[in-house]
Amino acid sequence: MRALRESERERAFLDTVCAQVRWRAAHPAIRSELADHMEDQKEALLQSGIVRDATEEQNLRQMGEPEALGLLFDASYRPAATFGVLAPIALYALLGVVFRLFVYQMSGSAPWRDFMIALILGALGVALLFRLNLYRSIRFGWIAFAAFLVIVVVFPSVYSAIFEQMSFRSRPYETLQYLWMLFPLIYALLLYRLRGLGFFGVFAAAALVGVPVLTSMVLYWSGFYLEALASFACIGLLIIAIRSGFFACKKGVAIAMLVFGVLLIAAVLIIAEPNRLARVLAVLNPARDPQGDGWLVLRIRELISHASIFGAGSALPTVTQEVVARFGESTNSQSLLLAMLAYRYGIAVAALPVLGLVAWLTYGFSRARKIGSTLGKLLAHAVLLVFAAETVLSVAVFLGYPLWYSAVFPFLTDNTMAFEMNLLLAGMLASVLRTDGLFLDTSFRQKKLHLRLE
Amino acid sequence: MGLDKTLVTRSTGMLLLKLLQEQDMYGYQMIEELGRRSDQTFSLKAGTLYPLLHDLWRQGLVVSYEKTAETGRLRKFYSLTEEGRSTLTEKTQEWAAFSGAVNKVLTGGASLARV
Repeated sequence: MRALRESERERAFLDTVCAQVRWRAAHPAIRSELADHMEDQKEALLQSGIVRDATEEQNLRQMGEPEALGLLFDASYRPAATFGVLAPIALYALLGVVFRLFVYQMSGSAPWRDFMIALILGALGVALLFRLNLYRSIRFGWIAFAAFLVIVVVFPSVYSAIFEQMSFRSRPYETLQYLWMLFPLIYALLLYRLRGLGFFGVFAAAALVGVPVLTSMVLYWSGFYLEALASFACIGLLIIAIRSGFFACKKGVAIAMLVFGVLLIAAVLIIAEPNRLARVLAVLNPARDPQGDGWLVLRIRELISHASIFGAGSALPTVTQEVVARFGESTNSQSLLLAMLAYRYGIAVAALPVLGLVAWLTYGFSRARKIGSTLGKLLAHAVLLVFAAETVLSVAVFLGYPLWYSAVFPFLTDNTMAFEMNLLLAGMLASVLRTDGLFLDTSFRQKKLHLRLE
Repeated sequence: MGLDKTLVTRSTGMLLLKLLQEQDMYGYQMIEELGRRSDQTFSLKAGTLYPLLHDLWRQGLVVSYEKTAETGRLRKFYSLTEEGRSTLTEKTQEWAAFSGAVNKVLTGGASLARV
């Protein structure tokens, strides 16, 4: 909003109004709207023939008592409640402790120190993000994008080239790749900038969707689960944006082009790499390669098929019995986590955290739809889509269709970095919901903008 | 004739939704338009308007965005949502039923008919 050349008395009036409002973050929004109102009112008074000197007096009189006005604003402007979002997350973080107990008990090792550090850092991150107004990040969308690529893509590549003789296993990337889980939030900022650009906007947004998977494919040999997770969330966000009329173009055509493009690229990626193709075929029919790619798929499916609804499952084939005995020792433990839980304690027990998370996501999406600004809706949906993609991919593993063995179930994982990122995402979601109302969408091309993401 | 304030307050939300059904408006514009259409019967103050608009926004009945007004100034515009549109329809029907019933009582229509 344009700044008003406020007189001393007008400034004092606005100060008094704002002094009554306890939520300090709302002061600029209240001040701006009232200042604009006074400016319009003053102009109308001048046009009605009142002399300039008398307008200020009459203007302030028409505004009413500043204390009373401030109290009304105070009752109206409050941070939105986030208990419904954060309480289940706290519960899941505690459940994560129980899950680790389960894993550590079976593996005999207990790296509690690492986990407790991650838990404390994550909680601090949530607290910090909760206090921030993430809507301000809209100014830095492209800068954030460039900085992200430098940190996650360029730096590990340079490090690898200098210190590791291009081993394609950059050590920094092993850690930094988890930042891809935050990429959909940056993508949301970019998407906001591409509003109203028609099919050009759709093409640009679609190209950005491929950034995580394609950059990691070019630079590293990795399973790119985290990159795929980011791309899936971005695709979901783009489809929602197109459906909402974000690009002012034919929605059906844009979605059809996007889906066709994604399927085509996915097919090329799978067929072009023999190992990848073998993995997909093994998921579809593990008996094709029972000692290779199909081995773990068969173990998971045996665990599930021998599980009871309640209580411990029936006797397992010898090979799978050995897997159960060594659970927690190998890198397969995460892939087997829910299947193992189902086998040992019953499918109902394993299904509970999944159903709980689905309920939380449903609630989260309903809250996100009600956010007042388009930017807020995009940011909240970005976070929720990452959680949704995590849930879908890890439940696929649980059911014996592991496209990515490294898929992690939100919060309930022995992967410390993924756990950390989950906590940060939850903090961001709470922050976006809490500060809803402090950001004002700008109209593009002087059109009205009030998209409903549904 | 001055109106009972509670009568005005309880129906102001509906009146604002009605204004926004026709076009997006900013705060001062709403006050002016409401005054003009009601022959200055509804003369809102900023202190009544903005908290009420914020409540409507919280309920998801209106959204706001920034746009250059006809005056050339950047203003916070309000716009009706789909939910706001259906709420307005409900409120209008409620109001019609209520005012119709009040009128009937005041004019003695229904009771006289039974007699």
